[in-house]
Amino acid sequence: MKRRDLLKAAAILPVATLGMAHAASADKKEKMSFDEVYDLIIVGSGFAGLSAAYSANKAGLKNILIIEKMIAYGGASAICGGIVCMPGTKLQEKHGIEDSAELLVQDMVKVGRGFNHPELAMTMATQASTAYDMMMDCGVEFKDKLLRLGSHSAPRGHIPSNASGGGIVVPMHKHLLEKGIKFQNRTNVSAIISDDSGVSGVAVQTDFDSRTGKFAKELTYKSRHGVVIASGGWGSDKQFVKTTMPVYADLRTTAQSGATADMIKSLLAAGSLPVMLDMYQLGPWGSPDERPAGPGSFFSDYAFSEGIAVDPKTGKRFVNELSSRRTRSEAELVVMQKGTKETPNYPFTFCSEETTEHAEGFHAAYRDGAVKKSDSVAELAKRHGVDEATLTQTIADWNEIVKGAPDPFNKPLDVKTELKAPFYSFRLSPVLHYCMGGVAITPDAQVIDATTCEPIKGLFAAGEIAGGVHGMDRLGGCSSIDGLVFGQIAGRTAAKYKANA
Amino acid sequence: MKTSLIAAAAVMLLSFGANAANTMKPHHEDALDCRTCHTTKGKFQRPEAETCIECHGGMSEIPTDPNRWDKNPHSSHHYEDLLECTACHSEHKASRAICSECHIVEFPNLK
Ligand SMILES: Cc1cc2nc3c(=O)[nH]c(=O)nc-3n(C[C@H](O)[C@H](O)[C@H](O)COP(=O)(O)OP(=O)(O)OC[C@H]3O[C@@H](n4cnc5c(N)ncnc54)[C@H](O)[C@@H]3O)c2cc1C
Repeated sequence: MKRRDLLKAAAILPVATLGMAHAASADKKEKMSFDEVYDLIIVGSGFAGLSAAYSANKAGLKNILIIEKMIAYGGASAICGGIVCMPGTKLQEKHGIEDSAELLVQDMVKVGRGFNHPELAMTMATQASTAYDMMMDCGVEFKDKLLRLGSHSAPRGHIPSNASGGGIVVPMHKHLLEKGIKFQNRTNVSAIISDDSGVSGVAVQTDFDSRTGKFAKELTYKSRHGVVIASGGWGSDKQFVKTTMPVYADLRTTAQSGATADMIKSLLAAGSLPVMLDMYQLGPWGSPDERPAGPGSFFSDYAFSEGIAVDPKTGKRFVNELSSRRTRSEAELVVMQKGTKETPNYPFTFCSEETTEHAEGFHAAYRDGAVKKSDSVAELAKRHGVDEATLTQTIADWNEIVKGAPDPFNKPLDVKTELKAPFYSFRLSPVLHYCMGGVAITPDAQVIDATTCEPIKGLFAAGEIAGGVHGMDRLGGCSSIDGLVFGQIAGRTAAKYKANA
Repeated sequence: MKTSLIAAAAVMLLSFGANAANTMKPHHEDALDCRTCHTTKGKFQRPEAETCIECHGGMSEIPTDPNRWDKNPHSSHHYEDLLECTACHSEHKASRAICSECHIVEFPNLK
C-alpha cells in the first residue's frame, strides 16, 4: 500500500477501526512525511474560513493557509446578499433601535422550533459584536440603515454598502493577504488525516477542476494546530439532498456549483457526529420567473414587508408575510398544490411604487421581467388569474390594517405604506436555500465524536457545515453572523490547540 | 550531431503539434508563441494572472463594454479584483463568464 492509499484508507475507515489504522500508520512513521507543513489549515474561503484566519492570526499563528477548491474565492459568502443580523451594534444605537442578544435568541428559537442547541445560539448572539468589530477592522462598510427581516423582532439587518456578501469577504480577504495569510484556490481537500494525537492534516488535489473533477497532483499537507473545516453547505449536491430529503429532490437551489457534499462525507468518515442532516431551509422568495436568488428575491423582501402576498385561487392573503421562511415556504407550497402542471397556482407578492423606490434588486428584477407592473387592480387581477372583486376587497382590507385595524395574521409593521396602483408584483415558488444540519460542535467550535460524544482532537468546524445553531430553520441574515462568530471562535480554539498536548 | 538534429526536429514537430491542437485567440496569433505565456520551465502550466496583466493591465484598466444588464465583471461587487483572469477567460477554448452561473447576462465581446 502506498502512503497515500494508506492515509485515504485511514480517513474513510469506520470509526471503530480507526485505532487499528492509527497503529498501522504509526508502524510506518518514518515514511509518513507530509508534502507541506503549516501552522493552521482552514478549508473554505467564505465568512467562516476568513474569520478563522483572522482570529488565528491575531492569536499569533503565522503560517496560515486557506484552501479553496473553486477558482473564485468566497463560496456562498461572496455571492450572498451580505445581510448580517447583529444586535447591539453602534449602527443600531445610532438609529435608536432597542435590541439585545436575548431577544435575538428568542427569535431564533421560535423560528428553529426549539431544535436549536441553546448554548450555540446564545454564543452566536452574544458574540455578534465581535464580528462587527472584526469587519470594521478589515474595512467593511455598511449602509446607514437597518433592515427588519421576517420573524426578527427588531431591525437588525446590516447591509454592506455594495449590497453583496462580496462587500464583506473582499475587504476581509485583502486584509488577510496583508497579514501574510496564504490563499490557495483550485485545491480540493479530499480527506482529513489523523494520527495518534488527533487530526493532523489534509489530503488535497491540486489544480482541481470542479466541473470535471480532474486534478494535477495528490498531496498531503500537515497542520500543526489541527484543521478548521469551513466548507459551507452542500445544496448543489442533488444526490445527497435527494437521499437525505427525498421530497426536496426536484427543488431548484440557490447554492453555488461547488456546494457539494464531499466535505460533510469526509467529516463523517473522520467520526464526526451529524445533526439534522435532513433539514433544509427553503427560500420563500424563489420565483418561477428568475433563477434562484435572482434580484427579484431581494425586491420581494420589501414587497413582503410593505405589501402583501396573495393566493390566486382565493384572492386572499394566506400567511403572515414576515413569518419565518419555513412557515412562508410551507404556506406557499400548499397554495401551489392547488394548481396543476397545466394551470399552476403560483402565489404572488406585490407592493406600491413607493416601496420599489428603496428596494434593492427592484431595478434589475423589473428590467429582466421577474417583477411586473400593473396600472390597476383589474390588470393585476388578470395577470395573476385572480377574481377582481376579491382582490379589490383584499387590498382595501390591507389598507385598513395600515391605518391601524387589527391584522388577522399579526404582521409587524415598521413602514406603513398604502397599497395603491401602479402595483409591482412577483410570482413565488420556494427554492432550497440552506443546509440546517451539519456536524455537531461545542460552543468553542470543536467537532464532536460520534462514538464518544466528546470533542475530536484537532478538528474544528464553523459556518454552514456545522449544525445545531439555528435548529430546524433559520432567520434571514443569521448565517453570515453564524460563520463570522464561530469562524473566529474556531481560529482561536485552534491557535490554543497543540497536537500531542 | 545527427541525433541532436533529429531531436530538434522532433521537438519542433511536437510543439507544432501542440499548436495545431491548441488554437490561439485571433488577437494573440501574430504576436505570441507558446512560451510568451507558458514561461515556466518544463511541462506547460496554466499561466498566472500576472502574465496576462503584464500586457493587458489589471481589471480596472480594462472596462467591460456597457450592456443592458448593467454588469461590469471587472468591478464585480462579489469579487472586485480578486478573480484570476482565467476564471472567465480561456486562450485555447471558448471563454465563459462565471457570472452566468447565477445571473442572466451575455457579453458578446468576451475575449
Ligand atoms: C444567494 C444567497 C444569498 C444569501 N444571502 C444571505 C444573507 O443575506 N445573509 C445571510 O446571513 N446568509 C445568506 N445566505 C447564506 C450564507 O451566504 C451562507 O450560509 C454562508 O455564506 C456560508 O458561509 P460559510 O463560510 O460557512 O461557507 P461558504 O461561504 O460557502 O464557503 C465555503 C467554501 O468552502 C469551499 N469548499 C467546500 N468543500 C471544499 C473542499 N472539499 N475543499 C476545498 N474547499 C471546499 C467552497 O467552495 C466554498 O467556497 C445566502 C446564501 C445564498 C446562496
